[in-house]
Amino acid sequence: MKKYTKKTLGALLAGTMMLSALSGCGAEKAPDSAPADPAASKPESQAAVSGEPVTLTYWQHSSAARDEMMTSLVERFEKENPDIKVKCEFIPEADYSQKLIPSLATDTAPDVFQVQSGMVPKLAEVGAIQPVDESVMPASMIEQDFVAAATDGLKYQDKYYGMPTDVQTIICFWNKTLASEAGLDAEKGPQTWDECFDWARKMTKTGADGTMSQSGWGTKGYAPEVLSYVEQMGGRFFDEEKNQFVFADDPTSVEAITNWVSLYTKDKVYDTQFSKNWAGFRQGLVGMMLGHPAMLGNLPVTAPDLDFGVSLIPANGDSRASCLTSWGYVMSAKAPSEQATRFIEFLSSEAVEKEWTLKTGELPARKALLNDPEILADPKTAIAINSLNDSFVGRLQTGALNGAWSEAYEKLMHTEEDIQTILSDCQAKLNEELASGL
Amino acid sequence: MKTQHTAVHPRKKRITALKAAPYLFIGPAIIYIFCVTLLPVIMALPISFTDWSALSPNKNFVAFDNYVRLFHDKDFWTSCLTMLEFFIYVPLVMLLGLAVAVLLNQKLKGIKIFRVIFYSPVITSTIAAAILFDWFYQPTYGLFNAILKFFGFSGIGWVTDSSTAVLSVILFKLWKDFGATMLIYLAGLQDISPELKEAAAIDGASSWKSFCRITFPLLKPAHTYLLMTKVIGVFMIFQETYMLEGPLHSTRTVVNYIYEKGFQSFQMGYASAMSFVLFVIVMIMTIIQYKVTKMDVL
Repeated sequence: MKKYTKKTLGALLAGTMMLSALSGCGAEKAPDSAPADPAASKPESQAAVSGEPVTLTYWQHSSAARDEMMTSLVERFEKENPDIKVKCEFIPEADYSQKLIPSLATDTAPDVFQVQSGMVPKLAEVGAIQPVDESVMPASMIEQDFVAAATDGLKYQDKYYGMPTDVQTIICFWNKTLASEAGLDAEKGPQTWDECFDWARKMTKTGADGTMSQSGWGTKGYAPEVLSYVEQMGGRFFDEEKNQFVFADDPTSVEAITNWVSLYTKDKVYDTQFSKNWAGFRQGLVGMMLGHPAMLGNLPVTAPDLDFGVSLIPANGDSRASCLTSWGYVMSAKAPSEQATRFIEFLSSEAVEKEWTLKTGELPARKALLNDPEILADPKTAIAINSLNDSFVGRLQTGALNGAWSEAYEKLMHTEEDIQTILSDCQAKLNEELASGL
Repeated sequence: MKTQHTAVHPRKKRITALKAAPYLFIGPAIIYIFCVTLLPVIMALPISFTDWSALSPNKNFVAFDNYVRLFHDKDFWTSCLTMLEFFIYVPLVMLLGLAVAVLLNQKLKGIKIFRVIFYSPVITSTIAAAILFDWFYQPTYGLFNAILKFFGFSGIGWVTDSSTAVLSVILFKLWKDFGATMLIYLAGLQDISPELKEAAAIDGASSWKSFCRITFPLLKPAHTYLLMTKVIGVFMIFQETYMLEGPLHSTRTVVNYIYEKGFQSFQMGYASAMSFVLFVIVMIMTIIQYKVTKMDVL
C-alpha cells in the first residue's frame, strides 16, 4: 500500500477511534429531534375505531422483586381490562435516566413510566407528560383518598400528573445491643431530638489515638433526615409560593443545620472514614440510623442476626415531621389518556398498594390503608405506616438537587469554610437547578 | 463483423478484488461508527449553540453563550484538572503491562493459565468490580488496609479521603486494564524474531541490554498504539469515577461533569458545548501523538 494511502487510513482509524472515545460524552445521547405534538399521535381513537385492544408500554427501574411483582400485576390488569395490553420493560436503575430522557426528547417515550416525583413539575412544564384523566381519577377523589404529602409533589398548576409509588418517610432505627451496653432504654428508643443526640454521643466509642471503633449515629447529612429536623425545629427550607429554596436566608434553618453538622464536626459521632453507615449498622458498628421504612424489609435479609428497634422520628415537643419522598407513575404526552390513567389507577388502587406494602415493605399512599389491620399487624410496619401521619413533601427529589445538597454537606463536614457561606452557595445552586433545564 | 473482445483479464480482476478487499472488511465498521458515533457527534454541534434541555421541544439559539459560560465555569476547569491527575495512569499501565507480558512470554509449563488469569479482570464488569473494590477500600474493615496493617503500616482513607481518592481509582483502573495492555505487548513480543536476541547474546550483550536495545525499540508499534488508546481512555474515564466517587468531587472528571449537566440538570446544550471542547482537546492531542509517532504502527 502506498505511503499516503497508509497515512490516510491511519488518520481515518485514529479519527474514528477518537470519536468512539468521545461517544460517551453526551453527544450521542443528545438527539436533535424534539418531541412531537402530544395530541398528534394518540392511538386512542384508532383503537376505538378498530375495536382492537390498546397496547400501553410501561417502563420501571428494575429489581428482581419489583419486576416479578409488576409482571403478575400486569397479568391481572389485562384480565380485568381486556381492551388494554401492557408491554413492560424493566431497566437497570443506573441506566434508567439515560434511556428515559432521550426517549422523551425523541417522542419514543413509553406511555406510562416511573419518575422521581421532583421531576414531575419539570416534565409537566415542558409538556412531556400529561395530567391524569379527570374522568377516570377526578382531583377531588385523589385529594380525598390519598395522603396529601404523597400526591402534592405530583401536582402541577392544580392538576395531578401522576400517582405515587415507592413512598418513603424517615423513621429511627437503633441497635438494641449497643443501646443496652450504653445504658440506654433499648426497647423505647430515643423519643425527642435531645435524647437522639444524647444517644448518639453515648454510643460512640473512640480509642486513645482518636480512632473510632463504634459510631453512635451514622449521619452524613442525607437530605430527608436534615429536612425533617429543620421542619421540626420550625425552619423554612422551601418557599412554596415563590417556588424557591430559602433555608440559607432563614436563621432558624441555619441554626438547625449547624446543630446537625456539629454532631459530625464537634461531637464526632460518625466518621466517613470509619465505615459506610448502613453497612456499619448491619455489622453492629453503628448504633443508630435514621432511614426509610424500606429498611424494615431489607435488614432482616441482609443482617439476620441484628437485634434492632424502630420508632417514629424523634419529636420536638408534641410534634413530629417526617420528610416524604416518592416516585410517581406518570404518562407521556403521547399516551392514550384514558387507558393510561386506568392502568395508573390500577397500580395505585387499594388492593395493589396493600399487596405491594405487604410484599416489599414500601409504604402505601392511600389513607384507607393507614388503618388496615392486616398491614398494622406487624408492630414495626405499623410504626412505618404511622409515620405517614406526620409526613410532609420533600423538595430535594431529583438527582441534580440531591447532588447539590450532598456537595454542600460534604463541605460542611470536611472543610473549615463558613457554614453560612456554604449554605448560601448551596441555596443559589439549588434555585438555579430549579430554574434550569427547561 | 468482428466481435469486440470485452472480457476483463482474470489477473486484472484478481488485482481489483484484492484492492477492494480491505475496504470491504472495514466498510461495515466504518458505516456503523458513522451512524452511531460520528453522526450524533456532528448533530450535537448545533445543539451546543442552544439552551436545549432534552426534555422539551423548545430550543433557543444562544450563540456562543454556552462556550462563554464554560470558560467561566470553575467546576468545569476543576474537573479538567482532576482528569489531568489521571494521566499518571498511562505510563503506569504500559509499564505494568509490559513487565507482565515479558514474564508471560517465557516458555514455561502452564503459562497459558497465567495469561488467562492476568487477562480475566479485563472481561469483568467494571461496575461489579468497582463495587467489590469499594469494599476492599473501606478504611476500617477493608481488605487493603488490613494488608497494610499486617505489614506494620497505618491504614489510609482510600476513596473516602479526598487526598487519596484519585490514587484509589487509578489502582483500580490499573488492575482492570493491565491485562489488555499485556496482551498487546505479548503479541508484539512474539513477533520479534528470537534470532535477533541470539545474535546479540553471541555478541556478548546482557539480557537487560538486549531488552533495551532490541526488544523495547521493536515494540514501538505496540507502544504507539497503547499510548494513543490509553490517553484517549483517560479522557473518557467515567464508570470508574462514577462508582468510586471521592468526597468533595475529588474524582469528578470532565465526562462525569458533562453527564451531570446533561442527564441530571437537563442542560443538554451546555453539556454538548463541553463535549465539543473536550472533543477538540482530544483531537489536538491525537494529532500531536500522530505526528510525533508518525503512525508506524499502521
